[in-house]
Amino acid sequence: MLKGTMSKIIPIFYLPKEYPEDMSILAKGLVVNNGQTLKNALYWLEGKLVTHKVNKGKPAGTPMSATTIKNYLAGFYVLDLYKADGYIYSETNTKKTKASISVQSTIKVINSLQDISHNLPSIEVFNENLTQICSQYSQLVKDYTNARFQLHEKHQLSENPEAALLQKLLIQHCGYSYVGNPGVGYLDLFYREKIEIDSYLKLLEFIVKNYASLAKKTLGLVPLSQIFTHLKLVANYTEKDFNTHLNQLRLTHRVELITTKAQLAQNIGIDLVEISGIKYGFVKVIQPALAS
Amino acid sequence: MVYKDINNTPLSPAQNPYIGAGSAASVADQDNRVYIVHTKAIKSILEGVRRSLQFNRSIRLFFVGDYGYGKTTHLNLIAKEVRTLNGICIPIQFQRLPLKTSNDPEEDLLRLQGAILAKIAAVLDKEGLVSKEDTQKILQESSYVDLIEAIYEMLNKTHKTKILLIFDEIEILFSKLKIEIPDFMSFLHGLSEKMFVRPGWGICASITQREYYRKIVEEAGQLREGRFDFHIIEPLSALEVREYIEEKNSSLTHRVQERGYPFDKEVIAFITVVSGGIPRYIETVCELIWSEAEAKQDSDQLIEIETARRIFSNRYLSKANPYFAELCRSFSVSDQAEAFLKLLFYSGGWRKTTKDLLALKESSPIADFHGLSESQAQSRLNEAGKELRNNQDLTTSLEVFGKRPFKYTLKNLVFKSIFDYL
Repeated sequence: MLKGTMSKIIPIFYLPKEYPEDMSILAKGLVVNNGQTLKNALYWLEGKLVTHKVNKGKPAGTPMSATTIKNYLAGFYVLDLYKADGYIYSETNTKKTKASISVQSTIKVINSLQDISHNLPSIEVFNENLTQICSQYSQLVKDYTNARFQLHEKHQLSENPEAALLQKLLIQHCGYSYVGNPGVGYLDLFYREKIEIDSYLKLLEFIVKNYASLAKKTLGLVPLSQIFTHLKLVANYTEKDFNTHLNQLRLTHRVELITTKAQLAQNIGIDLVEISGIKYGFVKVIQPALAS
Repeated sequence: MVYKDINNTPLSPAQNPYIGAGSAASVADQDNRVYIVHTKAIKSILEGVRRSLQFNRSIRLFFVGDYGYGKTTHLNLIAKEVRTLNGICIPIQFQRLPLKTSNDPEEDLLRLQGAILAKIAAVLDKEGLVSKEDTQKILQESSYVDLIEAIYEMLNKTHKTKILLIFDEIEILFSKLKIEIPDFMSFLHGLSEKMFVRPGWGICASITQREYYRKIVEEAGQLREGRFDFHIIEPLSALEVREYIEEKNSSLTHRVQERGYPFDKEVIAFITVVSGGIPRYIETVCELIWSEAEAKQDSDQLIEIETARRIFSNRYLSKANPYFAELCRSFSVSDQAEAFLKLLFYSGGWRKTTKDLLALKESSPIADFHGLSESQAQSRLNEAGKELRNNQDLTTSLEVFGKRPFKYTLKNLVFKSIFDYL
């Protein structure tokens, strides 16, 4: 099965959208049963998820049915968060309008989801990390993000459009043959409007906002390639812009760029960024104390 | 200018208390001629070391810090404490070991262990503690299999109660050899587990590349016994730089008041920013200003900021030119304004009017103004000044005081950027 031969559709699928704690339990269920069948994950999850509202006469707090949980797990598959029988969703050639998956499938969870499911500091952090992973790995989310950006730029689509309008515009202008609902509404959870980095000060703001906590663990050093990879996901930002703005930050004494030897970069597993003929691996935001 | 001590006795140029170039005396080649300032961090470490030695607890320190931050100085001072109590210190500087990669990580680790063993044997033989024959016997008995055991037996043979192994510049192993960090940390912990059973025996290690810190700490965290205390050596704060300079200067002048003499407060602030609080760079800049101000200033008053900046500009003009070129290119500043900045830097960059700069137009090496008439040069300087005053991107580099005539000052950070410029 080849990538890119699938027609662009957003199937009908389900996620416990309003309940991030349920998302983390579902993720945990998949991770704990990594390498097993989906059926094993289902067994593990039964009893751990409960309803949040009255449904068909049953009170809130009733254990969720296996069907509901299976649908949610199919939602995770649609987001390419695990492989089933060796394939992630975006690699399968299916025109099914509703996502479903056999419980006999053997699952393999992607490494990033495994990483964020261990050592969970808080649901908020998990949520943020999950959004980041889906932005990076889910073909459905990536296509949707580009489509939303295109609709915003060329058709002035607002930030919170009605689902029906969104379905119509995605089919009309973005090459989708089908847009399912529920489905498209969930993608909105992961959609982020591209931010604009049009000056070196905006780049500095981005670095401080997103990497301050990492910098605390790494003696102030943040890998440049990591920042650029992140920027490419959330902004229309070229390598040239990145180099120019970094250089401007250096020249105006706001950051230090750390030269890094190729061997060290290889050992650490980072790429080097070349600016004005010199290869740098890391950036450090300068402390204000000595700045005068 | 002749520097004088508290008794008004002139100090000779050879008594410059700062070292201009080269790294600190290596762990292997210690000498005590140079006055070493005991910063707060050093005092705290040494206090801990003395307590450990007093109560026969193992010393287990791992220093992390960039070039010039003072790691080797820390190691020197710790070694001195051990030697004072008749202990032995065995320094292993990886930069000096004859290490060549086999391109196989396992083989490289074995070679490393062999090189460490050979170095320890050489030092013990030189100190007359364990002969080459004894070393050979120990190795034969261990069948060359367990090198950690062999190292332990060799050290044991010295009958010393206080022994310190020092592993300096560990980052060399990851660039010269194919050694993986987890494998080296396992070896280090294996060795330390064995050694720390003996009270009074210890290991100190240092690494220059802070980039390795996270990985090393992750590996160290997984190994329970024989754990190290990590010390991150940071640059000195502004207050600590001032105290450093005052202590160093007064060690020579014996002054109790004006301990920073011959540097005035603004010169110390300048050195603080330019050096970034890094001891190596404090030494370099202070040495430069101390030695050259003697010739430049007539009075025996404190060295003034203008003098200090002129000395710096003189030394680093060749770096300033490409720095300003890049700065101006990045922010679309005109050639004329670039020439203004270069001339300002050449002048020392301290509260200069365009008239002050005009006076330097022929004598400075900034060719842009050579051969121009006074009025032409004045006009260009005025236009350039106006352009620079209106450029918001340069506010972190340039300060403008007062009204006409405006006074221009290059901020200390510009000098730091030029000092660091590659």
